[in-house]
Amino acid sequence: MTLTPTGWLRIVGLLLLLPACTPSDSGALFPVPENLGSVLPSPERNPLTVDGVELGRALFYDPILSGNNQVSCSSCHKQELAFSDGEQFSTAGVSGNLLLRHTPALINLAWMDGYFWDGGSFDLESQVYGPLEHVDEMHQNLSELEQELADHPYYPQMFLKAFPEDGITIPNLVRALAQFQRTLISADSPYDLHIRQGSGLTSIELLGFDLFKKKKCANCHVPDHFTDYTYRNNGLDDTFPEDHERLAWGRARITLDPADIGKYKVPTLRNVAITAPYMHDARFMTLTQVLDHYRFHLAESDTVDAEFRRDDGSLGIDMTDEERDLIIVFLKALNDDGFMSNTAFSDPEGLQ
Amino acid sequence: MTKRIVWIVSTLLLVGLVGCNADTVEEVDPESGTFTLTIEHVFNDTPLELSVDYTTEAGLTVHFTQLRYWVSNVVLTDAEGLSFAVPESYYLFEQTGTGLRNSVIITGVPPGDYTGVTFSIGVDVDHNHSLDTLVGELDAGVDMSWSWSSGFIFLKAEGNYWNDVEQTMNVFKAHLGFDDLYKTVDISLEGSIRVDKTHGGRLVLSAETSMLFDDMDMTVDHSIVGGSEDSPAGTMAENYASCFSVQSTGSRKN
Repeated sequence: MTLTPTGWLRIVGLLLLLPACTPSDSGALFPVPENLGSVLPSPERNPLTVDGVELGRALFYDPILSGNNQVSCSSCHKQELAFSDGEQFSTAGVSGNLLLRHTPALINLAWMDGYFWDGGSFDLESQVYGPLEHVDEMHQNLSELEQELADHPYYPQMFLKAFPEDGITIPNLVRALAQFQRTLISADSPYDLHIRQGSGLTSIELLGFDLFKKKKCANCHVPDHFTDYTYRNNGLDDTFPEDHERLAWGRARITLDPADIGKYKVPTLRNVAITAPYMHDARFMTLTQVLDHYRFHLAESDTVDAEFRRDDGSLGIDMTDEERDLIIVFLKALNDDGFMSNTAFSDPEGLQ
Repeated sequence: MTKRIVWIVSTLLLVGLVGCNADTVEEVDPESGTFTLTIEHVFNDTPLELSVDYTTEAGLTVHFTQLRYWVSNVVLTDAEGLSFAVPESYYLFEQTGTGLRNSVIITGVPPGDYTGVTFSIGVDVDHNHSLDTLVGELDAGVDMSWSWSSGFIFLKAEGNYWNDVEQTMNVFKAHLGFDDLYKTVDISLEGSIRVDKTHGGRLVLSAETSMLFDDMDMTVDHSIVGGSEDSPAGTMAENYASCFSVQSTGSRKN
């Protein structure tokens, strides 16, 4: 048997993993498409390992995580929809109550430094506690969960393999889930092939890409991540009531800075054509509605993003219907079909 | 003092030798002793009982149904100004329907005559936002953390207050947190507290819980979540930062 260079890298990578206290070279095990970056970001305290990712994947699909053992992460984050759910507001939680914000797609999460629409969580590890404990989501009691995992036929061994020092703990559970989610990388769309190999986009899609840049879409949805990972007010509302613990304040709910009122995370546009509906409250059903919002319906407020201002100070991005439709043709070329079918991200049902 | 330096150096050496297993090695200074920190909850100088109505100096009638807070980063300082930062000191103090926890026995305290104690209410920024790096008693599963804004609730006070307009006892809740509200309390003692291998130090503080409501308009600010310095949450945080006073000190022969 001869080993390819990648094969050797894998072996070297595995050897590097052996001394547990040396940060492992996640890059060798989990390569990153070159147009996204050189390394897969992960916190020093939680480097990716094969066993950690495998455990995270099993947990992601397992309803054991919920209080009634019927709801898993994948109940709302469905791979066939780029880990979104297609609903405006989910009712898939334990209580069946309508959630207050739209389920986000899980794409290239490793590069974000804030999670939830308002960035209320600083890392993926801490984010897990949100859905895990919320009464209208998985409503899990953490000590009961620890016990259920300890009594389980294969989790005790999987946790020990992934975290030899202490096995089953809630911090290790959230770390494993974070590791798996960091591997959810999408960068194999026709656009990516075009960038990496010089061909892949049709001439119409290229026209659309040109307009995408000319009409300032790319100023916030910066290629090749198609987001700048910031928070902005894209003119959805002109009032920001304080009910539900300042829910409508968006980013300001977290920072308590009035300058952040109405701002939300700029989402990536990768796979955007299959992650409808759109916005933190999923008020738009189609991409046409989204673009028409930017053309005609931007709401004035103190914090609305300056990118939307015309030279005369009025709000709106001018484009014709044809230009809008060409931009949408380009957006569809950001679909990464392999992301939706990659078995490394799928339910490892029957895993022992 | 030389002894303390030797102790530190030997700990460093040990850490170096055992590498990543250092956290499993318990280093105990044979000369060290214990220090017990107790915080008595009082209302107008009388022991606080839950669900009992009290009236503040300003005339507000209130009762508590629960009071919980993180006591963290305890530092003991001796007469010479040398200080001992208690490692991983994060404790959940609480008076709830299920019980009272208002005391902690700190072990491994280097011998000395301590004249000052510093601690914080809440969780410092380095430990407040990553809910998987839990030290001391920090736990993201005890209803003292937020999931929508990853971080700990520094202090949770719940109960009822007399609403003069509605002529009834209404619910109040104060869930205070966010980095701005992390408050540090400095207590200097008139004498000193001896700690060594044969003497356990003891400090009892009073927390005057009526002070929580100073300058607060409960009819408006009866539901506080999160907090910034220039908000009612900030006022209440200033209040709890200044509500501690020394009740008694001592040193007990083992």
